[in-house]
Amino acid sequence: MKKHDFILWLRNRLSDLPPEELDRVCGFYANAIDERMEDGIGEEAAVHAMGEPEALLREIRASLPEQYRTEPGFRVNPREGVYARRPAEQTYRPAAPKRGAGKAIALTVAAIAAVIITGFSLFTIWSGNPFSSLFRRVFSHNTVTYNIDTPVPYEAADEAAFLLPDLNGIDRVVIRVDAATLNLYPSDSDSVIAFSSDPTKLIRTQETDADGAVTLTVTGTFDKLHLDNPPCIDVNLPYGDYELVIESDAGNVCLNGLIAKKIDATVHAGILELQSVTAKESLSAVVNTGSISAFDIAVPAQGSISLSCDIGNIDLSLPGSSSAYTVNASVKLGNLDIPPVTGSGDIAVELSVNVGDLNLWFDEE
Amino acid sequence: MDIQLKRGILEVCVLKALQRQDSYGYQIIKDLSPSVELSESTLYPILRRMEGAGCVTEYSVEHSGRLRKYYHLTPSGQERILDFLKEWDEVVKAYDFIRGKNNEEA
Repeated sequence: MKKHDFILWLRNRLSDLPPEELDRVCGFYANAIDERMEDGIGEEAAVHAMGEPEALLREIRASLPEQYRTEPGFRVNPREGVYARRPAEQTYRPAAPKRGAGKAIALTVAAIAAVIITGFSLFTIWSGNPFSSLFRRVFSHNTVTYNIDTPVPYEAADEAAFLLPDLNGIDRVVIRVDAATLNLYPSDSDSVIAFSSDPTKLIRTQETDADGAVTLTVTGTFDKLHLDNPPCIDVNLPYGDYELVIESDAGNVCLNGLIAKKIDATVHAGILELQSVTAKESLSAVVNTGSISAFDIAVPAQGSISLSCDIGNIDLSLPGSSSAYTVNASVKLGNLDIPPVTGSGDIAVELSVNVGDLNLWFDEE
Repeated sequence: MDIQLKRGILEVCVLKALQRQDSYGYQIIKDLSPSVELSESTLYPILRRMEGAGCVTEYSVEHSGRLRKYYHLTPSGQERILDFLKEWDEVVKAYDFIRGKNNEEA
């Protein structure tokens, strides 16, 4: 493709940018192509060296301020082909008010949807059982997914919270966080409340699978990992009979005072802290790089605890005495510090560390 | 490598490439290519971000009938390189500890 066509195509696709920024981007790439041609590479090859155009566009948009990150509705006429030249006078510049209106409408629809769904679920709870099952039946044909990503203003102006419907009828709560600190606490009320230092990074989705099981997923993905001051998401969860799944890519996770049926936590890089956590069936945690500190973990008889850490330490304190547990602990490279465990209790505890230390002790010993 | 980590490291590499002398896009890519794989699509956002952060300034110089854009490292940018090196020392210390440099303790 010719350089001229490529730059024109780039201008077309970035036409919503302010003129300065547009000139800057296109100037940069025009320069880049010129430099390569000067080096002796042919024009076609020089343009090709810029990379796959759509991917390039995505990268450029991702580096722009928030308002330019998504491309407005304008598209090059598909019949003409992506790289077709367009006469200058056909270049479309969306007027700012139009863009604003689109956003306002989307926001209103989302807000109305949020109110309706919150109202509906509150209604079903208030009305008791018959309507709860109606709620489930209405939403359990095949899979229904709905996104609500409009934050509800709550207290401080620079923080926003999601007020989510309560967890009645929800079988599974999945919380996924990338490059942020995650704190989970119990909720005073029946509602799930999620606070985030950047509410635009928080998305909530709810799905019902073919068996009627309902999963609530809260996802927070931040663009940059700030090593000294990571963004933070706090989620308040009410007690319930749900399975709690936590996935964190890079960031610390802290669970404090939670009660759930099953808890499953995976942290790729970060510290996992569990304090006064109760799982009615099982608790399992995997940390790839980081550490696990768990105090006062309660699991009833027949239950199980499984903690594993690839690189990092595990410190675990269990309530009661060792006779209530059957412990299987191993460390590949590091120190293993556990009391002589003679118990063959009916709570199974599996602990494993690849590189690091493992400390286990019992409250009553 | 984790993408966030990679982006951070690439940023400092680009700053380093400007440390000795001012340079332009293609030259930066060529200078970095023995050690670091970099393309314009990655370089432009980095330069833009560094410019926004005050680590880099740009100016144009006429060359072969067009304007070639040069980038210059500011004192802020210089500090950024030093900060990175300081942080990395800590990472190395932690790595040594975790790896268990004193294997006889195991």
